[in-house]
Amino acid sequence: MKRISLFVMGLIAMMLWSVAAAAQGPKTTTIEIKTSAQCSMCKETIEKAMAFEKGVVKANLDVETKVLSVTYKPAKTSPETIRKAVSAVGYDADEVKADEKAYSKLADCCKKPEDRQFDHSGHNH
Amino acid sequence: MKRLLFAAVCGILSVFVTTLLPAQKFVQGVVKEHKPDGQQLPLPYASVYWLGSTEGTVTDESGKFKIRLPSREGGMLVASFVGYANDTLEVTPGRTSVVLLLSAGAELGQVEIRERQSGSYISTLKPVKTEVITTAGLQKLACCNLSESFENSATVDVGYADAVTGARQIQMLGLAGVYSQLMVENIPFTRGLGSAFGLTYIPGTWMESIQISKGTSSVVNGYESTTGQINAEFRKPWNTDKFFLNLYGSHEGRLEVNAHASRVLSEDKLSTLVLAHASMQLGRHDMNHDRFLDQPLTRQINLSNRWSYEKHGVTESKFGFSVLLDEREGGQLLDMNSDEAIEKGNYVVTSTTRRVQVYDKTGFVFRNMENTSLGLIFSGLYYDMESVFGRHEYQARQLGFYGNAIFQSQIVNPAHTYNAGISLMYDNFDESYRDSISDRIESVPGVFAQYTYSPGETLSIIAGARLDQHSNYGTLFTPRFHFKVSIAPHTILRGSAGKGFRSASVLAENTGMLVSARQFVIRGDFRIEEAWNYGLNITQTVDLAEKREAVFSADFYRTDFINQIIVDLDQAWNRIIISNLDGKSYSNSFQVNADAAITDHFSITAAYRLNDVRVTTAGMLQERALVSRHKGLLAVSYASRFEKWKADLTTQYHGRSRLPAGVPHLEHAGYGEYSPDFVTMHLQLTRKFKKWDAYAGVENLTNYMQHHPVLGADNPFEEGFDAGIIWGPVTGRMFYGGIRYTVGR
Repeated sequence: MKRISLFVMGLIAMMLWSVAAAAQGPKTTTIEIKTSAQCSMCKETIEKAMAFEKGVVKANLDVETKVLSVTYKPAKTSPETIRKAVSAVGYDADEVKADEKAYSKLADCCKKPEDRQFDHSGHNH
Repeated sequence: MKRLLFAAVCGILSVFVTTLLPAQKFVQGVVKEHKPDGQQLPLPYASVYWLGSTEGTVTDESGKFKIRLPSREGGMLVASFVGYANDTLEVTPGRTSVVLLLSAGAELGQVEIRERQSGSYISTLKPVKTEVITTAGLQKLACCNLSESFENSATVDVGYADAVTGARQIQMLGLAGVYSQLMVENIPFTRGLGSAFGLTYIPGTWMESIQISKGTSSVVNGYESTTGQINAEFRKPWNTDKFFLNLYGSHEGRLEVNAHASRVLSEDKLSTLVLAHASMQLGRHDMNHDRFLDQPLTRQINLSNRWSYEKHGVTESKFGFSVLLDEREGGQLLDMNSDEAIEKGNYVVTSTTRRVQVYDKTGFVFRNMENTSLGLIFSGLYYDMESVFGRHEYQARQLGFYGNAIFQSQIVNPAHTYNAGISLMYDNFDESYRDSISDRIESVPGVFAQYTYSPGETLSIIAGARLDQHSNYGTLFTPRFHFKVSIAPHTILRGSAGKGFRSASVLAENTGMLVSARQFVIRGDFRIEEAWNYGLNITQTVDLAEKREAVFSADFYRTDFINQIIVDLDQAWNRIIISNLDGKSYSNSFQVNADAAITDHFSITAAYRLNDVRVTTAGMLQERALVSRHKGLLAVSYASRFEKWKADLTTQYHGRSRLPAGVPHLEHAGYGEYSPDFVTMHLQLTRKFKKWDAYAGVENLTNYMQHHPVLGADNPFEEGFDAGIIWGPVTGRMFYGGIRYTVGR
């Protein structure tokens, strides 16, 4: 029984901590980064990378304009770090070029039009 | 209780069916890979998108996809995959189903396997209904090994074989796990003497996925698999992470380390993977105060090295070896080591197991003949177990060889294909128990042929047969038949019928008998076990939203034994009578299953299963002892966006099971004819970080334990002692936690 109560207390402590962390909200800044994203798959990849990036609170990529807006905590990360993280998954981020190795691994539809393997005439293969 | 459960399941089903969303304008289809040998295989994780738009999707594990029509006029649909030439297809309005074909380009790029969201699914392509537990599913319950991987599946039941050794046993269709075939990458894993502990020899993190199919499987893999087949796919040297580490610990003193490292030595040609596992059970627990450890102290070291060689379009080879050392000590060991305990006259079980396996799977493609290939499979096994059960020694040694050569080709066109080949199973068994020694050699050469008619995706028919010459049991003829038909676009009907055989290793398969003071009585010469199995199942997929679906399935299987080796606990409470079947033995198993992704974040699995298993024991056709008739399962999963947070809660209801007749200790303990029914729960939370995951959970949350798992625990060397009558959990609530660290490719 003692063990269970310890476990429950642990859970409650974790929840309180996360609520407290969320309450510190306002200390954030938002930046906009122009990327080389092409499609909704790229949006998924970049937003996922942002979700696991330290200090990033929120990220949203607009596929039409290719602009990624990132809300982050300046105390924990910087725009340079965020741009590097975008580059690391294969996309240009403002002046930071995409990491070549990561770019080469992207699915065809996520590559820049000039690098795609198929011609745009729409014929099979 | 039974009616209540049934009503609950029906209620859940009807809620799903009535909330179906109206059909939307979607196109669905399959992306296939056009192999150089002419074969067309589904291509998972390919991207599919509309030309000139940002709308795109990715194919699932079976190459299937679904995408919203961009406009009323249709559009140009493009499928692409790294290293393949694209395929573009004009999709006109009204067209709802398409197939896109990709051919490998000049250079083959790296394939990145995406993390799968779904924990398990039912394959819609395979002719035999196959339930697949994915990596995501395996991680849901941080399972230590294969025996603990079926928590979210109602198809396979797992229980302890006895209250002392920690051996786990599975059941399919209400029949012991030995009637289903356990394979690792389509090579038989546990046959013969290793079957008792075999499931604990496959660490959970080594596996990429598990495929479970009910009923007889293809004749290509042998005459076993009467009730089903479980195939574990290990991680692949060419696409798994560079490095992986898992550390696990439980409050009961179980520690576990798993580490994998892979390396591509020559791009697209040669790659290797090392899998390592070490685990220990250090804690001594006796929650039920019977002076017996609830679970044995164990130490296990398990290593495997796997290689892959490929010459594109010509040959492919997978080979490797694995080595295992497993030590366990259980029994009256609460506050002393086993030497002291034995000296004091305590009841102690010790065992040391060594196992070595080498394997090779090589395929050759005939370039000048369409759809033609030859596959060769070899496996060599050494298994050695030295053990002491109380005052009796039991030793088991097996030297085994398995070889299978499969030729595959087509007749006229790809709609008609066939497999044919030869196989050899050779096993040298060497067993000794107390003062009796049994040595036997089984040598079984065989031939088989199988024809598949598959004119399209809507219909497949497989008919096969094999002929084996068993050195001890003579000629065995095994016919089998399977079909699959799509009766509606989202409705698949499948069926199977066939025969299965098995040569029993009675002692090794029933460790429960060894931890008992019952006297063994062996009657007559054992014949081979022989049974017919028939089954029918239906799977219905319902689209809930663009990427979400619900899958409903129902199945019924019947197994009819012609001969079975019966372990009769009913005839006399102080004896075990082992004989050929005299009378009837059958199993009817009915199951309904619903899987639904309710929202993008919540998914739910509900299942109900009814087993009616009867066998003639003590001269009377009665319910098979220790098999529960009803089972219900409800699993709820939550995953936040990108699976940063995950929570999984699994609840299982286990119905009562019949207890062996006339056991005085059971009667004294207040049990009637049946065991009580009970509920178990399992909860796990996972938090994902960039490179690592942390998880924590509770097993057996309700802390339900079988009372008196060791009967006559006070006098283990006297008549009445029996630790083999197990119907419920023998270990209590357990908290655990751990981390996974990954270095990707």
